[in-house]
Amino acid sequence: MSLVAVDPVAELPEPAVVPVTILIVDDDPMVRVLLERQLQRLGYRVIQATNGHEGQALAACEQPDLMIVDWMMPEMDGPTLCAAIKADPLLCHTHLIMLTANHDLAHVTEGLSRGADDFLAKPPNPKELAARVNAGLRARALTREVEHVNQQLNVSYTQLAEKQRVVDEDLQSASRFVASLLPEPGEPFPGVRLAWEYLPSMTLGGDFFCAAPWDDEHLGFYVLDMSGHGVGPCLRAASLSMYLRTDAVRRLTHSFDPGEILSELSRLCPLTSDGHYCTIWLGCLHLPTRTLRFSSAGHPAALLVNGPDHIESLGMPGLPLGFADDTEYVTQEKRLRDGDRLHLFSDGIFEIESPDGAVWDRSGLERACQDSANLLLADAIGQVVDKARTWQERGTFDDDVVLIGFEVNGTA
Amino acid sequence: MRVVERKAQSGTVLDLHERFDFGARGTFKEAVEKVRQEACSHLIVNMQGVTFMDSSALGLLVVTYQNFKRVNSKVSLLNPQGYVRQVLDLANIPNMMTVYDSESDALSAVPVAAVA
Repeated sequence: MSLVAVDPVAELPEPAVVPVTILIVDDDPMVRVLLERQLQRLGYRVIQATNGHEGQALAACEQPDLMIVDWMMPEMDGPTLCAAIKADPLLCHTHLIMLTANHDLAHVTEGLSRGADDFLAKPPNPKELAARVNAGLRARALTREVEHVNQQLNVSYTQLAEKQRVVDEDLQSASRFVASLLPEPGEPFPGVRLAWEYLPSMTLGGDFFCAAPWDDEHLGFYVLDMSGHGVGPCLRAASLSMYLRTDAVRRLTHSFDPGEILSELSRLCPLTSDGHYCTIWLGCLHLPTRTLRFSSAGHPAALLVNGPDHIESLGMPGLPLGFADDTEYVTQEKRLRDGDRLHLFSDGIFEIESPDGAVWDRSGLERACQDSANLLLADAIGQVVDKARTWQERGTFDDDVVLIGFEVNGTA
Repeated sequence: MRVVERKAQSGTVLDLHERFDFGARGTFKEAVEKVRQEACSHLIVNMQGVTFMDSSALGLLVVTYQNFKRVNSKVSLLNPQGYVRQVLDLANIPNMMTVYDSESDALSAVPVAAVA
């Protein structure tokens, strides 16, 4: 499992407590000295510049909390400096008070539109100066807090995005592992063709299937549906499949009897405390005699199709695995003929609704299997899934979908 | 899903309405837990108003049955309809829990504890 090494949000440092710095920008030395004295008396650190250019450079260097800017200055006037400060991402939250003798509406409007936050009459009255500076610093403290929260949010977002990326990678990796456990389509046994479609509703699904020779004469195969979707059901499905591996199935029951195997599995896989469980259809095909023996634990019956006119269900009602300790599952038998196709699936393929709420149901699936009976097996499986998509008028499914086809042909 | 609890002399009836699916798990568990804490000897789950039931709901019903059985109490089902009945039949639930067609039959049934 991968770990993401990122600092928790709580470690983002709080802004350091530093003295409040006020920058005075004015070409008149008397005004600068006057303001400096008054502000220093109020406990602030004061720095000075004599024109707009100098003020801009000093602001970039010192990042003051508040600036008092004269309107009329040589080289760069007050409004131009205000506009430059507000355009600088590092300085744009600095509170700007403009010094002016002119308080008519047009003047004030121009000052505000170019970046000033407040005005101070020239010459400044000490009480008004203190009040406006205090108000400005309160506003600055709020913007600093917002900046800090934004910073925290950005850090949290980056951490979450990174964690999500790692989780997605893990899920994709698990998904590839599950896919590697699925049987190769083709001819797993001479005389038996296999094709399938497997569409987990999430990256990982609770449906699983397998087909593998249990010995030289027996092909074992099953489809199971673990209730729920996602990591938990997928892990449970994969661990249950280990009991049905070629080397494990004999140890389980000392026989290839599907009913006995399911009875044993039911004892090994109890219902979870939150009610999750597994349904399974298990078959064992004896190749020399083409005798299919099968059993089902609460799983939808398989369909046996031979041409468009013959279809029958192979299954029986039964408790899902783990519903009761002492369940004995029965085995049924069916002799297969040339051209027989056996379709295994879970309920996700037929418990689908059209946009107006009509359920496709088993009858829809059965019709689709019959309609595709004359196609090549792989094409038939693909067509049935396409018909399910057509029914619900969308390409993705809410539940896991698995549809497997076995075909017995004359080469055995 | 909406759940209505009704007390009767010989047990408690939970009337379930609409969809009994993954999203209804919390509501159902809460209702059952309340009944369980009241030491109910016979819980009757009235399925008549249930329009849909998925596999997680089925698992929850069986866990409830197993938990009640462990303390010698009984869980029965009442009047499942259509699709819900099919789901229960496919999973062979009627072999595990008694399914009644009438509430009076369900209420007059003798709970396990009384038999014991």
